[in-house]
Amino acid sequence: MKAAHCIEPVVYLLLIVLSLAILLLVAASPPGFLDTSIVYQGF
Amino acid sequence: MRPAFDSPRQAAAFTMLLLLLLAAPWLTAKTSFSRQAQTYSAESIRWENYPWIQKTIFEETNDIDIAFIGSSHMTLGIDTPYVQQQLDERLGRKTVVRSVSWLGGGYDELYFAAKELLAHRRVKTLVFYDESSSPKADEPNDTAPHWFRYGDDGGLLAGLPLRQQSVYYFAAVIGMPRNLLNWVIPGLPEDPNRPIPTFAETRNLAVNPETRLGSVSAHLGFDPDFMANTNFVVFVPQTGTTSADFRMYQPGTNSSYVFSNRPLPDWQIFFARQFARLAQRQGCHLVLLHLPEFTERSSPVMVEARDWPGLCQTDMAMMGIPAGRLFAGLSEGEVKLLYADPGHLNENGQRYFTRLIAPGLIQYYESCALH
Repeated sequence: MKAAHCIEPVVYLLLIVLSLAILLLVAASPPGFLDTSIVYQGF
Repeated sequence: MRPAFDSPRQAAAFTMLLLLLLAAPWLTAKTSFSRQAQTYSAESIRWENYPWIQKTIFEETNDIDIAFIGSSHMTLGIDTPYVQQQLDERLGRKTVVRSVSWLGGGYDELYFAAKELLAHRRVKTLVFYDESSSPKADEPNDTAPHWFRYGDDGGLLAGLPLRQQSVYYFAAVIGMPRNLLNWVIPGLPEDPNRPIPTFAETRNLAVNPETRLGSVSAHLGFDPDFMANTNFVVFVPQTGTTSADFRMYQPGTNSSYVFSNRPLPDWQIFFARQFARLAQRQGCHLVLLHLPEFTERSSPVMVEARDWPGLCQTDMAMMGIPAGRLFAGLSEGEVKLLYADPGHLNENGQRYFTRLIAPGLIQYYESCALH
């Protein structure tokens, strides 16, 4: 029970770190990376 | 407000999922799984909307005399069947000329596509171009999630700043589910009676590029906003320009070229060098062919971002016709009849431009063959 209490903040901290990492990666990448229709777009 | 997670256990499970997704390219690179899941899933994924390119790279096996490689500017700018016909006549044998082009510019895509092509076929002369005034020209290619595989290519990134490495890593993260899917269902065959026409046909109203050796001849009128203007008018320019106006860069002597030295992202220079080294290792002769944009229609010189042969420290011919000379005597309205949009020639422009550059290009090909 005590161990679970200790792990909980670690889990949330890790979740925040990962979320921030994803946000940073999205911000650093061209918008087209996440455009799933991109292969159908133009020559 | 309802909490995002009902329990810490649920939060932990979601965290693990995120961790797994983010680490997936790294994990596959560290295991033999990368060779199964990433290495040649690419055949069907990468070129799925360019089935003619898949055929050029993976199915045909003979040597290619001249390959035109690059973004859409190249495929719309070059009348590949005409070049092949002229080369056949000149050399008195059946030659092989192909165009291998895709959506979007960038030396990153150019390097990876050339790597794939040269791994499968011997190419004697590789003609390329990557300059563009598009605002997206200095961003990594949008389609990177379709072709960048960390398991195969991650090691190459060591020469890039960390931020740019992370962008390509993220491309591999996004592409991973497609790679995994292709691993589960490998080698989906192309349907020869594919009912869905390719993008070249629907967007550019071109005939199937496979029947034109990879060249796309756009039946589009000029639209300044890159929208498809279906009002195409056949136009054959009457100018005094001839193939004698074709210029080849001679360091220190040629006034047809200007190097702007505008700021470029590190990855452009990095992949340009990688591309040049790759071609040199494979014994290809490289030609950087200047493709004219509408905005430079009255320019007496060809402007390149860099002295690419000097920067890449590679034997590389730079050739082209300054747009001011190419369009000499034509009104602005007549020049528009040669373009689909400010960056891309339409069928009129493709025919006109190719007929002017083909003799010089073939002459260069022959001079290389003698060495």
